[in-house]
Amino acid sequence: MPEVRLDGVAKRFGSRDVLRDVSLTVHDGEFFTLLGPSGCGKSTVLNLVAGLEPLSSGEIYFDQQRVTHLSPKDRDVAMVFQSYALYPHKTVFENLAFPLRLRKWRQAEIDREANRMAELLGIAGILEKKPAEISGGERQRVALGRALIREPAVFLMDEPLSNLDAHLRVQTRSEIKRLHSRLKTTTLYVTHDQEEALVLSDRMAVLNQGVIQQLGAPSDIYFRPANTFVAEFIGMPRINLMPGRITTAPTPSLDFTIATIPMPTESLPGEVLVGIRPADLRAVLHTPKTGYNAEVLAVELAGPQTWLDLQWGPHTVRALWAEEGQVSLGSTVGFEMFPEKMHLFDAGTRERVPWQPVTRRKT
Amino acid sequence: MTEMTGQNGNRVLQSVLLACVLCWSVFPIIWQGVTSVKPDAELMSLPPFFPARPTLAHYAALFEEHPFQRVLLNSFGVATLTALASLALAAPAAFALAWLPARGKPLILGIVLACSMFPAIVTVGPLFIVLRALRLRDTWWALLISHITFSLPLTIWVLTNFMRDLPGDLYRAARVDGCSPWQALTRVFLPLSRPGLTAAGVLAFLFSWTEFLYAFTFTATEASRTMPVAIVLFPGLHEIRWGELAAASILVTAPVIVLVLAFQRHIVRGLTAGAVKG
Repeated sequence: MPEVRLDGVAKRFGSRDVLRDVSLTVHDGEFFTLLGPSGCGKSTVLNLVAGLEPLSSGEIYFDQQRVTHLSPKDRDVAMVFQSYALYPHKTVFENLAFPLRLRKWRQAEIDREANRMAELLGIAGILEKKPAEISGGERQRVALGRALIREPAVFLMDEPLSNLDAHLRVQTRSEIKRLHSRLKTTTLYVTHDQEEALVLSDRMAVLNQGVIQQLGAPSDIYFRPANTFVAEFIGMPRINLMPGRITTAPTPSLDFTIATIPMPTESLPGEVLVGIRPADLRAVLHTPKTGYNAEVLAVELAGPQTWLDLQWGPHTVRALWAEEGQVSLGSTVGFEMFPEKMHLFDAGTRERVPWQPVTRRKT
Repeated sequence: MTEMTGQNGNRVLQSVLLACVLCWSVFPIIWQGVTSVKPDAELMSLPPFFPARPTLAHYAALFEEHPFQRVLLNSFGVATLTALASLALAAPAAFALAWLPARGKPLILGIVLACSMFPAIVTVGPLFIVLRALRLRDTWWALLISHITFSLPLTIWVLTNFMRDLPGDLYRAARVDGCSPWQALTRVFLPLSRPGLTAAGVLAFLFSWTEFLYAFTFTATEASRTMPVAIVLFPGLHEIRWGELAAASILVTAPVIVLVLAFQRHIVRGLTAGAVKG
C-alpha cells in the first residue's frame, strides 16, 4: 500500500479559493480523516486525490510516483460516495463486478471475487436485486464492496455514513474500522461528524475554509486544540470560551473579571480567550472551598448526563451536573474549575497559548 | 360544504373549457378522417356529416393511382435515419456538455440554442446551392443533412438537460471504477438515459416527418419526395380530389398521434428535464 502525499495543494473555482496550500501525508496503511464543516473543501481534497478534478497548484504523490496529472483509472484508487452512487440499471452483482469487468478479468474470477466480497459484507442474498430494491444499509455495503473488490492501493470515503440512520451508522462505523484493521488499505476518509473522525482515525486533520487548522492524532486534537476554531468544532457540547486577561503585577495571574487564577511566573501579559470544556466544569449543590457559584439558566438532560447553562458573573458557561438529584432553574449551584483542563488562546490571533498551570497546593 | 361545491363547480368549469379546447383542436382532424372515408358522391354535401356507407376507396386510390408507397418509404426512411443519426451525434455532445470538464460550456449550449432559432427560410438558399454543388439534390442525403442539422440543437438540448439531471456521483464513481469518459458514457450514462433518448428521438422523428420547407425545396421527384410535399403537390389538374387529399393527411398524421400517445410521458419528462430538481 502506498502513502499518499499532498504537497502545497490549492484549488480555485473561478476567483474562489476552495483549498489553500494543503500539505499532508497519509502513511502506508493509515486511516486518515479530514474533518470540517460543510463547504470547507474536504470533499474537494478527495476529488483531487482521485483525479476527478485538476489541481490549481501543488502536487500529489503516491509513494514516489507523481500522480498529479494521471487520470482516475491510472491511479488505482477506489471511492465510496455519500450517495453510494450505485449503478441503478445494474444488479448488485454487476455493481460489484463492474470495476473488474473494466479491467477485463475472466468471468470465473469475477464470480469468485464478487461472491467472496458478498460473503464478507453479508450481502450474498441480494446479488440479483437492483439497487432500488434494497435497503439503505445494504446499498452502503454494496458501495463498500464495489470499492474494495479490486483491492485498491488507496481507499477514499466521502461521508459514507451520513445517509444512514443513527443506529446503523454506529454499527457500520465499527464495521469499517474492523475492515480497515483487516485489510490495512491506506484510507482517506471525509466527514463532518467529529465522533466518526475521533473513533475511526489513526490521524486526522481539521479543515476550515480550505486551510488545515490542525493535523494530528485524535487525542492531540481533542486535548490540545491548536486554535479556537478546532476547540469549538471538536467536542460536544461546545467548549466554553470566556474572555480573560493575563496580568503580571503584582503576581502573574489570569483575570476573569469575577475570579483570578495564579499563572506561572514566565507568563506574558495580554488578552486571552479561556476555553473550558463543559465536561471539565463540574457543578455541585454546595460551593466547594476552592470553587465558585453561579445561577442556573437552563437545564438540558442528555441521556446519561445533565448539562447546565450557568450565569457566572458576566459569563454564560455550560457545565456538567455532577450530582444525582434534580436541579431547578434559578437556583444557585457551586462549581469547580481545574486549571490543568483550561485552554488558553490569544484573543487576537485565536491561536493556542501553551502554558503549564501552577501546581495547586494540596490542603 | 361550500368548499366542496366550489370545488365541484371548478371541476365542471374545467371540463367545459377542456372540451372546448379539445373540439377546437381535434375537429379538423376528425373532419379529415370523416372526409377520407366518404364516397365521392357525398363529399360536397352536408348533411350528412357521417357517410352512410364509409369507403376505403380513397386510401386504395392513393396507392393504386399514385406511387404513394415510395413517398411513405421516403418519409419513414428519412425521419428514422434523422432520429437515429441525431441521437448518435447528440448523445456524446450532451454527455460532454453535462459532465466533462471543458471551457465555455454555457457559451456552446447558447450557440447550439441560437442555431435552432434561425428561421429555416434563411438557410434554404445557401443550402440549396451547396446541395446542388454536391449533386445531392433530390436524394435522401439532401433531406438527411438538412434535417439532422436542424434537429441536432433540440436533441442536444434535451439530452444535455436529461444527463445533467443524473447524479454527478455516478460519473465520478464510473471514472474511479476505471471507466474512460467514453466508457462512462456507453456503460453507465446511455443505459440510464433511455427516457431522454426516447424523447429526443421521437421529437427528431416528428420534426423530420412533418418538415416541409426543405423537403419541398430539395426534392424534385418521387425518388426523395416526402409526405408533406406529396400532399401539397397532389395531382389534380381541373379538380381538387378532396377525398384522397384527406386520406393522405390522415396517413401523415396517424404516426404522429401514435408516437405521441405511446411516448407521452417520456416526451414531457425529456422536455422538462432540468426545469426542476427531482
